[in-house]
Amino acid sequence: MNNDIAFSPSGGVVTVFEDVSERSAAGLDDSEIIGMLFDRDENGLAAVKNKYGGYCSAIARNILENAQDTEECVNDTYMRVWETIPPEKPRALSAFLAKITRNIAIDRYRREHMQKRGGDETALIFEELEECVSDGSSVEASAERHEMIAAVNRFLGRLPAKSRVMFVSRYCYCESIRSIALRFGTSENSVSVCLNRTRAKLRDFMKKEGYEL
Amino acid sequence: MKSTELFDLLGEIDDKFYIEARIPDEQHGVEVVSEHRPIRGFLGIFLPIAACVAIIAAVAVGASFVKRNAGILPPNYPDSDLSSDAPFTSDMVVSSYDMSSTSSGDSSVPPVVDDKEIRLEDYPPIDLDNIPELEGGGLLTQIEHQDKKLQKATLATLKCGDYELHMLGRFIHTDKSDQDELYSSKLYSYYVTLALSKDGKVISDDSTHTRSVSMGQGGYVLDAEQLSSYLEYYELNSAPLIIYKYPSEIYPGSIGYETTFFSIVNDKLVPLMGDYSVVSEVELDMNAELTPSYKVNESENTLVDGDIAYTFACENFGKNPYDNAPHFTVRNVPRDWGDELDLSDYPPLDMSQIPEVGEDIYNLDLALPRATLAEKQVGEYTLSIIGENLRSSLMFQKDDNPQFMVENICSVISRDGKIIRTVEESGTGVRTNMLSEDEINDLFPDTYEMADGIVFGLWRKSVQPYGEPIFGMIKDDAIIEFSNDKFIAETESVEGKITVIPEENTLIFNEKLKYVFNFSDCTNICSYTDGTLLNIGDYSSFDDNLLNVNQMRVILDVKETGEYRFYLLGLGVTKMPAEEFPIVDFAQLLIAVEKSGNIVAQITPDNTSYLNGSALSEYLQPFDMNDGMGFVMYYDLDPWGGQNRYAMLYKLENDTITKLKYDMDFAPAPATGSPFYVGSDFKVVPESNTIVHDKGTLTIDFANNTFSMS
Repeated sequence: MNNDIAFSPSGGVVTVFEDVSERSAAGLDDSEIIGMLFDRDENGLAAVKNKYGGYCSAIARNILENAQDTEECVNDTYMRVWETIPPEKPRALSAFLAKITRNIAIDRYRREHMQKRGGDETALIFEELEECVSDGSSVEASAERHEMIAAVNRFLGRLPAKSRVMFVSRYCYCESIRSIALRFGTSENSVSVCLNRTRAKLRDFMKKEGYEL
Repeated sequence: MKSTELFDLLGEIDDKFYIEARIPDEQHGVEVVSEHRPIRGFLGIFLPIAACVAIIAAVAVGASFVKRNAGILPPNYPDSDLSSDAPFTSDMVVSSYDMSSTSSGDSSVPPVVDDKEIRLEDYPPIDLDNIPELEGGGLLTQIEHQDKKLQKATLATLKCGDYELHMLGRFIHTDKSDQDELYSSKLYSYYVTLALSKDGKVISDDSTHTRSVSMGQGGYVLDAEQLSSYLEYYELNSAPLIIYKYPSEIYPGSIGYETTFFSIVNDKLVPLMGDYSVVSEVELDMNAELTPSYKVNESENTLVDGDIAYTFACENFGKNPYDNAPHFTVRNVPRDWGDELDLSDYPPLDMSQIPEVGEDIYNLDLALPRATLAEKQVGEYTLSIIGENLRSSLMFQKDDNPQFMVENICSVISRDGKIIRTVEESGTGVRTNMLSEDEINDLFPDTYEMADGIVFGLWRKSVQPYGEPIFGMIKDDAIIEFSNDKFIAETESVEGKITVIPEENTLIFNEKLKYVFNFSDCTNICSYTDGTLLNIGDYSSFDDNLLNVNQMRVILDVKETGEYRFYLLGLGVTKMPAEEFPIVDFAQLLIAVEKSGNIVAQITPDNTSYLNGSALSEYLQPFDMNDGMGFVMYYDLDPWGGQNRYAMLYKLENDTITKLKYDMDFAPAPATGSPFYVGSDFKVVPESNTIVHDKGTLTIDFANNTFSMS
């Protein structure tokens, strides 16, 4: 039995998770978890934590590199999940959580790094992405932004699976190059070369599609 | 757009890509291995310009490829039942991905296929006129709605001598809304299995169809009108060769093939692994990237694709390729410059003469045919970098670093016009390269002017070879190369530090190897600079209270086991305060073993570039077991990487330290020598020669210098 603290919808703190053991929570289908959240059943959050807590922590830690910030970020994620489901009904809960965690973590990262740059993994990722962009005008129109995301999706869809997974691991999950290399059983240099090529391809692809990054 | 905006944009990509690349879960302990083979790392291109080269190469020689959306060879997780003596078969490419935390009801999880036996009667020939049409989403559609798809079909069949090879698909559909010009008619198949049959019964298969699930790679996209072209069969001198090629493309017109070779050995379909060490830093790989122009020569057991040649060693088919039995070798087929080269045909380059060809980049009629890109004089010798078909395109220009395209780059050493040595520097498999003016000079061979003559560094500059550098001298207008293979004890980049002592005609490489050149008889002597083991008396205790002070030689940790004392030593050690934990930076780490007051063995361990100052005593952990002794040396003990406690295992025997290899290292992954997970607070069980940690048990086989995991 695992008692834990979660956010209540009203903003207070309530003790939940009394009815759902870790094992059973982890074993719930995503559809069941989402159903619990739709029913405003706080055990749904327990299930999210037990099934995806480590996953969210890994994403947050990749960006924040700090245990306390990571924990707070993941708690914020749970809160955001509670606030957004319903009305949101994610088709893929893991991806939904990944995006929320990433957004919260990067917001926190930016707040804490407004005055300084460099020296950490996330700063490195920004530097790598500098190679793809011209630092020109911002994309403010939501329609154009939507189209650009669609173009990026097309680009990713055409990539070799390995390159795509490496790219997404690096720039969406903010995973370190070393960690990617370990996962793929290859050298950090190989990962860097692959990412370098993929960035160049992205820049070229987007140019062909009529977008100047 | 700013990089941060692009970063935000990437955060909104389609869910399916997040699902596919889902990172290891700290909580549920998803294992780290997720790639099925070493990456084909064609570093035989200029790394500084690799990206542009790849683009050019893609268009020029069709050498860029979109891999299948799910690999024919799946993400790998070694099967603990296999021994290193077992014949190498496709069955070894297996996965035991933990699906326990997911369920069939999870929309993000691909379907699990649990076939134990493939029966051809379950796979009728595909009827292309009756494929379920599921509109919308391509790959994501493949993950879902499996019940609405054609469940099983034979996509193609190829006669292979006495056998038939079948390309079997599962969960097949079309999506007319998702067509594009790359395919005549797109066909989705979530799984593709190759099955070998004899007398109508399947006797072997590529064993992959249930294993690609772990990556959730999203299935195959095939061309319905080209299904018969995915498989080819050849009869080499003494063995069959099957080519499975998965065509696709990134850019219009750049068709290539992601290829896996198979053979048939003892009624088994066996994948072939090739030795790429000549052209890449990756030694063995199952994957080959072919252009449409490849040709198989059955009588010579070769496949030649542009300037890459694959030579098949039929006698090794079915053997463990990691046991010095690669199934094929890959090498360059360099242009034979021969005696025909006349440097006067290559006038000095005037950058203003390089034509701008716009988008017509492959119309070589527009190009400047030949030029000497750079030239310099070293003593009596002329070093030249020459190239052909030079042109530039605004398509690939960077404002601050204008580049041009050039083919057949060659580095030449000559004297008074007489060619002494040529080395093609165009890069492996890539003829067209992007170069900037600044980068040309990087292609000159290194030269070292000694008291009695000139020593040349003769490794190719356009690739990133590993190992001891090759030096050479010139005698009677002939180059004499020196290689000292017996001294190659570890992998080093040839770009290591080279110290020149001209007056002694001596070079010192990485402070380890000393070369003394004799110009009178054109010989050299190579020796280790440190022929003796270190003296522990030169090392003082590490002062934990000194911050930001370089401590030259220090003892970071000492452990005793039996009659041995194990030292963790550091050279150039500096402790630095940091927010999370004190960082202990070092120039070099050493592990030394002392017995009866004498150092008997020492190594330089593989490690991260710094240590966690609050965990110094945790890195080195000796063990003494029934069959031998050794030690664990952690690779990384960052607090935020605490869930990833990777370590190397070493054996100490007869005063020699040997790094132990994971016994499945012969499988495509993990890579040999990778750090391995060893959980914290592990327990050594001497009786069983095991290390028990929170996620498993490592059993050490001292006799074979390996360990296994269960």
